Amino acid sequence: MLKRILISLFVFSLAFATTASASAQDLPYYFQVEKQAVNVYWNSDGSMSLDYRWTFINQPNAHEIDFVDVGMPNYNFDISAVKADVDGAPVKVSTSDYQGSGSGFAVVMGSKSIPAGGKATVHVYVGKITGILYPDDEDEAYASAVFAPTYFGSQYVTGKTDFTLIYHLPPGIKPEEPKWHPAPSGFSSEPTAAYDDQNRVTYTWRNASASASDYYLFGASFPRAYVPAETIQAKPVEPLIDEDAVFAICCGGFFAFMFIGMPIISAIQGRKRKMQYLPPKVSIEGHGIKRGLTAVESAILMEQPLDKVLTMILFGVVKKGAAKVVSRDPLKLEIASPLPENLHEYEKDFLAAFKETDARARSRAIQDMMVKFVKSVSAKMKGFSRKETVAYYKSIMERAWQQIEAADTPEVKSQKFEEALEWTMLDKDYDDRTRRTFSGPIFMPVWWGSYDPAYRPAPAASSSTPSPFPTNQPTSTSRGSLPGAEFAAQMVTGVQTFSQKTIGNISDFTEKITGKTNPPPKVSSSGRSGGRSGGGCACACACAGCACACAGGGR
Amino acid sequence: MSLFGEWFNRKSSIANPKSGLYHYLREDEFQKSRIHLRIDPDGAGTLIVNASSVMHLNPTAALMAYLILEETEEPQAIKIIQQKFNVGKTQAAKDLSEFRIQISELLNPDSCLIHDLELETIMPFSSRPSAPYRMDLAVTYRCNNDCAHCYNARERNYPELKTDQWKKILDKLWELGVPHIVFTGGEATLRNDLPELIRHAEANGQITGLNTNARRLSDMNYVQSLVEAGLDHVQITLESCAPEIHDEMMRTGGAFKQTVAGLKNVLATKLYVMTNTTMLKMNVHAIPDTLDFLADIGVPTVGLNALIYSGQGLTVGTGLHESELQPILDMATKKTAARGQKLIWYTPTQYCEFDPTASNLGVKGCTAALYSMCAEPNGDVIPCQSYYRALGNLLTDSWDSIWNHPLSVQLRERQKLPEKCRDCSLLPECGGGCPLKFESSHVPSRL
Repeated sequence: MLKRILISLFVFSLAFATTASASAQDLPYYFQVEKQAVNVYWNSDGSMSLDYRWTFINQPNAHEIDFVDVGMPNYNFDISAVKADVDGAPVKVSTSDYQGSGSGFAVVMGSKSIPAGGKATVHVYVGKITGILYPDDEDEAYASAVFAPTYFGSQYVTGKTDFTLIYHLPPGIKPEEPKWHPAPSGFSSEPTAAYDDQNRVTYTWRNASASASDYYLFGASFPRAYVPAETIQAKPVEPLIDEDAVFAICCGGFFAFMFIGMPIISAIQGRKRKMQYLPPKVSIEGHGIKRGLTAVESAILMEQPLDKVLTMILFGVVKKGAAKVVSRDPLKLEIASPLPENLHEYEKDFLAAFKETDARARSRAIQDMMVKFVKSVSAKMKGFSRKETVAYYKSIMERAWQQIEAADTPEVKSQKFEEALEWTMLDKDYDDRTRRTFSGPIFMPVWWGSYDPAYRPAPAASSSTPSPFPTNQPTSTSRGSLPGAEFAAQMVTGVQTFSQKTIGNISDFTEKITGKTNPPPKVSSSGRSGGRSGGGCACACACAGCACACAGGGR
Repeated sequence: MSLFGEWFNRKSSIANPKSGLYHYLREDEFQKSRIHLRIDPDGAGTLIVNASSVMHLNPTAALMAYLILEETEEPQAIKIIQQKFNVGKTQAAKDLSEFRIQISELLNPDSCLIHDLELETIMPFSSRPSAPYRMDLAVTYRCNNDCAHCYNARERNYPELKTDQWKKILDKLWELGVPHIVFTGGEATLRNDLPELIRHAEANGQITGLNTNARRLSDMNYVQSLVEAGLDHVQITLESCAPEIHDEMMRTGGAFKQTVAGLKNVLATKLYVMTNTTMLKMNVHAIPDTLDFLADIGVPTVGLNALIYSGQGLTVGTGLHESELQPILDMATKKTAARGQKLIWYTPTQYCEFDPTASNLGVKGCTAALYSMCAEPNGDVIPCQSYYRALGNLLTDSWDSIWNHPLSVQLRERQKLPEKCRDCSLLPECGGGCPLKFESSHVPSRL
């Protein structure tokens, strides 16, 4: 039978582990822990590394300290990554020599056993322990890192211990982010915050007159974002203590804990092996918001109907003086030459398509242009979060509306409206909101005549732009006005022009595009998630933003 | 530490999967998917499709993915889910049904990007796997070219492992959960056992690739032997469409002719083919023509990279400054898009000098000792193909000592970055650029 120190090393990290072993020898174990230094590294991968350093002063006539059992919080550690030494001389660690209960290992002191009256420092490093973080009860955005270091049976310990415990928080955490939990009795209420040599924030608790036989619980919380989400354990539904551990604790003299814990443990046996259920979640690495998209590109991302997207492009080229509508039915454009320099690729492609005189060839060209455009938005979005990006551009749209609605006079209101026209068009409630916002007249943009042949403003005699058509540049041209409701109706008419006169059946048109940007799965499944709506139209994902083209107005 | 003690697909008794790597092949007349599901001891998982799309699964998703991939009947799957989780039958059935649809989209190699984008996103390079997703095996440092800018810092006669030792390493990597193997060098085709090693890796379930100068691929019979061994992809270095420039950079007369012949040979096979061109002062003026040339002969994917500051690259003096890259890459982006090609930009740069995301080239950062590593001809592991500091040997050292070597941790956790990077908001994506560059005291600020 192994002779070994009767040291019970209890290590807690919410859940526990323990060790205790009894000596059969006559001599008692009796020692002082002169100094105990514990470094607890909370790593960015959600694991914990432990570094213990005990300075033992073995008492005269006491049993030599020949084994030290070290309990571990759980089984998620690799014994090959555990290193130990006594005064710098490596010693073995072994799980097979471990005689405690639950998970743990033994430090096999061997020739470095500390004799009666001797003094030595035992150092243990545990490289990686996983499954030790839990949600913070008070803040769901935080992870809780709680740890109670080793303590010893009071009958074996004498004297005071200079006890230091240092938390090394995950890399990248800023000093203002973490929170410490209440300190144990005898330690200052606030730990000392500092940086370690890896620039990690540290919390240091110290008590120069601590007891090596007292149980101290330390804790801190930090934002969950600094560790992988999956490493944060579900809240334990029961005390994470097994029967063996309870027995060991009992032997260690913690009867009060035992009596409190036992009935609870009995009650939860039936379900203790089941994990808390969370819905399935898949995540990928990527950016958040893709900034710098145009309103038209945002429309693709927001799954706006393709005829509306085309109308937005038309507005864009007209505003820039690159084209003028000479006929709404059928839609015919007069294209500027040379083209302004500030056109986007999709605008150039759009104009190129309208150079086609044959209706079928033009429709095909518009299809090709849209396929290319959708793919380009897709490429731009590669690695970015669509959800966050859509929310961002919706907020831009909303801010645009708020500026318009807050304007004092019809002139200012119209000016703001003109400036942000494309962004407001992203609103699915665009028509109604335009009517509501403009109870009075809307002063038409100077370029409106280039869009609506029926609208006849005064000629732009003093325009400074080289464009042959009126643009949104300031001019001295007097501006006509329309009632808001009529203007909104004009916009709807514009969209319908595309829908009905230029590209034909919008569902067919959309299918031709999505067939290239996002071919449907070859094997049909029971249904696609997302609940696409639209009155049974052939709304299909166009990728980069599932350009939903229901003639009825999208989803 | 080997987290994965037990592996392989065990169809005989479907139950809670043990931690390990599971490989699935989905193939029909239209498409092929190689799927790897890595399940960690804590139940969480990583789903890797065709060695390119990496998705992280919480324990519920990992179990459901496993059951779906194992084609477990729904009633049994629900029973298994209920055995593991505290969940009602109705909830489990509903979530499984919805997840089945989601995963079928994710597993489709032609899947709409939007589905990826709908997923929860986590910061780039924030995952902390227990082993890389890709291991480059530099099976030899011998080479039949002699590039002046070569990043190789070892002797050409560096000791090499025998075939059986490499097989042992392949097996160990599979046990560690590494699904993707790239054979490189030196020039990997100079090892006559290359087809045998490819065959062994493929038998494990690993996806295999080859980085080569393609001179030996000018022999179609040899190409066929690689294809028959199961090779999945090949990357060929072509420095210019101008033979004289290519041969001058390779310092080998006639290399261009053989390389292009090899390139055309592999293009005639089912292999996934891409090229790589290092943009240097010597060839940068010919990049537009080179891109046209590659498009003309049907190369579907074109890679570009900058000088690697290692080996002879440290002193060659032909590198471009990062701030010079933007117009070249913008041109390359337009050209490749116009020809329907895919452009891949490899080099991690400091985003304050060159931001690849601004040019829609994607997030590029150093993944050494994180998502990829390299084994040298003697089995030593180095952080990447160009970072010649051994972390341990795959045959003799524990994986834990390699993976958690101080240098591995330093690179993974982006420690010891340049001072200017400390408070930079771009740091999470940029990572300070290539460590070889900012660690090298030999590299002037402007070449």
